Amino acid sequence: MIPPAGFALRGGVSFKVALTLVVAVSTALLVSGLSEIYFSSSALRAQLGALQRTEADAAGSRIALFVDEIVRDAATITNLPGDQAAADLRVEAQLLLRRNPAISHVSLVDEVGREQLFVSRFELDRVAGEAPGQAPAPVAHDGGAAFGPVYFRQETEPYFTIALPRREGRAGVALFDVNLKSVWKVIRQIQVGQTGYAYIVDRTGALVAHRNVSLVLRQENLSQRPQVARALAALVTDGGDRAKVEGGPLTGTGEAGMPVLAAFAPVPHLDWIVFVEQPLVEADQPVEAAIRRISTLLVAGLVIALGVSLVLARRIMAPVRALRAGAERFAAGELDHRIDVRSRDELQEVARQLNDMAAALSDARNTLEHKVEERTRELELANRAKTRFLAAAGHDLRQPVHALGLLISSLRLTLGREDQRRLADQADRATDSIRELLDNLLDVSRIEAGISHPSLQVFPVDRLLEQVEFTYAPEAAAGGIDLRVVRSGCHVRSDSAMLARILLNLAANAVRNTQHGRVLVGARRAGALLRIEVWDTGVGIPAQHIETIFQEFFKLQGAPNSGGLGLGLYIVKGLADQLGHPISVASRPGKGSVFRISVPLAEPSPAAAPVADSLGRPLGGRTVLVVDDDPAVLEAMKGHLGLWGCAVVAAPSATEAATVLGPDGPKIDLVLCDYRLGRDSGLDIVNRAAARSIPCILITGDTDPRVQREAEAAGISVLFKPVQAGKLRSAIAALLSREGATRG
Amino acid sequence: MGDLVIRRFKIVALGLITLGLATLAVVMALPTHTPAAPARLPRIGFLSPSWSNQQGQVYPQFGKALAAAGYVEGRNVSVIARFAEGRDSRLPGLVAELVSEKVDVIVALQPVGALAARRGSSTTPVVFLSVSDPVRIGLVESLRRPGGNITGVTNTPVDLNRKRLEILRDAVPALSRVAILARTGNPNSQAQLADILVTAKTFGLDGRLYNVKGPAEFEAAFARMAIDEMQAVLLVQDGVLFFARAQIIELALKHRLPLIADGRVYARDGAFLSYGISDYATLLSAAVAQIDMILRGVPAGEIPVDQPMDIGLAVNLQTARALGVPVGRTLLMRADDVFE
Repeated sequence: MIPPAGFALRGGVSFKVALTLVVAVSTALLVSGLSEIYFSSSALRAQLGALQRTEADAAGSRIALFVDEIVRDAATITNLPGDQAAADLRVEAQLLLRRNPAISHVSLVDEVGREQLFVSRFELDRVAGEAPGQAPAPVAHDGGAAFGPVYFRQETEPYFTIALPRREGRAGVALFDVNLKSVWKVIRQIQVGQTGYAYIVDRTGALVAHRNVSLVLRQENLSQRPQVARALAALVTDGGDRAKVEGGPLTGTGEAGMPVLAAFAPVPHLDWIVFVEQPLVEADQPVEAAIRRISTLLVAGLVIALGVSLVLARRIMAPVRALRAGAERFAAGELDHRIDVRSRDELQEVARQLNDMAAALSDARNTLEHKVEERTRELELANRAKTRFLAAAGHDLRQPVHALGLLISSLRLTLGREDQRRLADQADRATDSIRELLDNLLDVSRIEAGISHPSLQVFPVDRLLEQVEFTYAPEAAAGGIDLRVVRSGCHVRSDSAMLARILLNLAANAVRNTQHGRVLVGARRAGALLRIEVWDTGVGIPAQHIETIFQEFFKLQGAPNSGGLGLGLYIVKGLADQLGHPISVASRPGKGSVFRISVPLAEPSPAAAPVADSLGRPLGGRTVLVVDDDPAVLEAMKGHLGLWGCAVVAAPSATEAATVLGPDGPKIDLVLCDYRLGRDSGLDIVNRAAARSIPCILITGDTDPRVQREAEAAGISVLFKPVQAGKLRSAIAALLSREGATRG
Repeated sequence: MGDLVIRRFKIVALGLITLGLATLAVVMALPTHTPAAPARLPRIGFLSPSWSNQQGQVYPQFGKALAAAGYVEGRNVSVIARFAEGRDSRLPGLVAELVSEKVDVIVALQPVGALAARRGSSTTPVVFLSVSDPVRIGLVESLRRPGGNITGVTNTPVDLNRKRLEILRDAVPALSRVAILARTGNPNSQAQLADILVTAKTFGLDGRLYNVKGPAEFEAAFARMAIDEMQAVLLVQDGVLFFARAQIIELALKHRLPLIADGRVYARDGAFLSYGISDYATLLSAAVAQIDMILRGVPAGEIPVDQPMDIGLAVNLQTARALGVPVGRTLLMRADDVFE
């Protein structure tokens, strides 16, 4: 499942799909959310501003009404006829005070500023001449009311003075001190939101009223605040026409520099401006709520988008995964697999193409396999033919060579003259060469036939070394080569016959490839192994051939004629492999070579007590039944065994042999039986003998592994034709001694 | 591969969801600027030197004024009231009690109460009521900026005794001798006396002071007025006298003396004239406005002393008839209240 590192994770199709979807959804949500926040916040501010503006307008109207009322009430004084008595004026003034509680004092001042009358709510009244004159208050030129600045009485009481001209021909003005606490109350009662507030400034920016009265009492001037400055500027340009003045909303700074949303309205007839302000943090609260709502939506949208994209990705991924899995199975060789994608899109087309490709590949592979099978079959046939030929040749050649060897041996014993014997010896040696060639062919055919039944036993390796020495000393001496075999007292676990073949072959190889110098055979311990080495000072093996020397029919170019087929090392390798003995070679061309074979060391077992040398054991007095359908062989065997002092009963057929082995037959010590007896099998005879506990040796020219297997199954020794006389003798001696041992 | 991608997806999804939730949490946690409901109700101490049943008229009115401003006892405010029941010596102890109750503001009545409250705590804000001239008795540094931790509402914008004398002079024909009834134990009354006497002299009147310590001395004082042939009585504003007004009004009638006092209640209860605060409730609501500011965190010493402006003239015609004092048209027109 894990893809080649690096690309799939980062570039996963589903990941891209999901990313795209999430980005698209969140972008849409963000855009809509932000625009909603933007528009709602500006709309909200406009709305709040309008509300504040309404409040300011209302306050302004109320204040204007308040002032208008005072002016209207005050007219009762100013409209009085000029010749009114001072006492009457006082009463009128007192009544005015009663009518309008906002007016605290009324005074009449003549044109030079002399006070004519002063009526007060708190202080003692004064009539003309009782008080010093003061400058007349300014009166509007149009004869209307003039409004003075705000001032304070009794420290905390806000007042302003309204001046009205006296009518009816009387010069001078009437002054009305108006308590502004009711204006303050109007302002104090304005509440916008939780912390919104209102205040009034006059045309200079000085505070007239404020919810926090101490600010007014401190006579603060707010003309520096941006919203106040703007309002004052607007008032100047628009001449106080309230219809024209755009009263906000605008942003400004409140107390402690806090940003505020402000709206204002001029008070009609007075150069006052009512401000209604709300801190922005509070004004923007609904916007924050909107942000919160939109964030929630955004999160929800993201979650939904993720969910949808996961589902989508799965749906998109399913065919992709099928494609991928299919491709993997194709790669693994499952070309019969078909990818099943029915997404009705490009992926389905890709799947179809992949399937077609797999089908094409499958066809090509099938053709190829067919061809390979054909070739293999042909090769097998050829190989089988070769093996059959080798087997047949082995068998057919063996018979005469077997007889020939026995005959020459017999002949030699009967020859009296020295030159005749030499000729016999030469003939014997020639026969040996043929036999050796046949042995090799037999070995090869056995190796190739795959029959290997190494019978592992523990034995002293010295036996084999001795055999090597005995076998090749004469040949080496004849060739002028110093063959030295270093004996060893070690025991090894191996098949002694197979190991002997190996060593003999290696020794033969060494002796034959060496023209002068020496050949050394020895063994040394290497841990749990015994390494048997065969050194020579021969031509050596070029490095490029080291790998190929163990192949069959290998012969070194320029090597001295060994007379062999080049099978020696092939057999060595085959036997060593079957025994599991590692074999190695090292060589320096022109200097020589060394072959090493490692054999497991073993403790000598009591069972493997040294057997008396069979070669020296006398065979005299024994009766041997020889069964062979070849009269020449029968004759040769008879002669030989007779020479060894044995009494021979010859049986040319199975029937006769059966008669001999019958209950009326002579006492037989040993049976030598050919495997092929015309149509009969030697095995029947052998089994019959075995039934009477007579030791048997089966002699055969067949290389058919079945023969050996059957014989081994029956516990019968097998010798392969052509059998050397010495070999036959030692085999007989071994059998008889074993027989003697079991009997004794 | 698919599984891996999907697992990766889940991780990314989880990450995004977590991020989103975190954002949401942060957004939700943004300050809302709504004033959090206070952990405990604001406590208002109410301190009166008088009896709870007498002051009973003021105390319930105070509750109504609080309610009018949105403060409801038990819901968003709690009021702890203490009454000295006429024994001024108890006031410091009561102030200590209120302070130990950790009240947020003490409303103290009358000069003795206000002074005791101011002495009893330097940290607890005090709002005084029923004090005529807080500057003169050393309660505040100035009306505009009281300083310390105290503010309040005065009984009148200025000393109106002189104005009352003027009204009495205008109302009672041929007035020449005026008795001035005062409880000089009240520091405010003490302070005003000199002014009153000077004004009387300005008007060409013979003004005489009749000092009383309490209701027990009323009889004797009025007896002396009769002996002195006083023609009218000017009552100098005082809490003790206010609560004993029935007795005073009765004695004035008995001795056929037109009486002018401060509160409208006097005229209603039988005094010939009254000139002063028309409605005590306006003083209470002014005090509540100050309390509101204090509870919002404005230092009391920064809040200007409030001075009531709704001064009114009241006439009791029944009393006038009983006294045989003619009531002129001007007086009637001037009067804000006329009791038949």
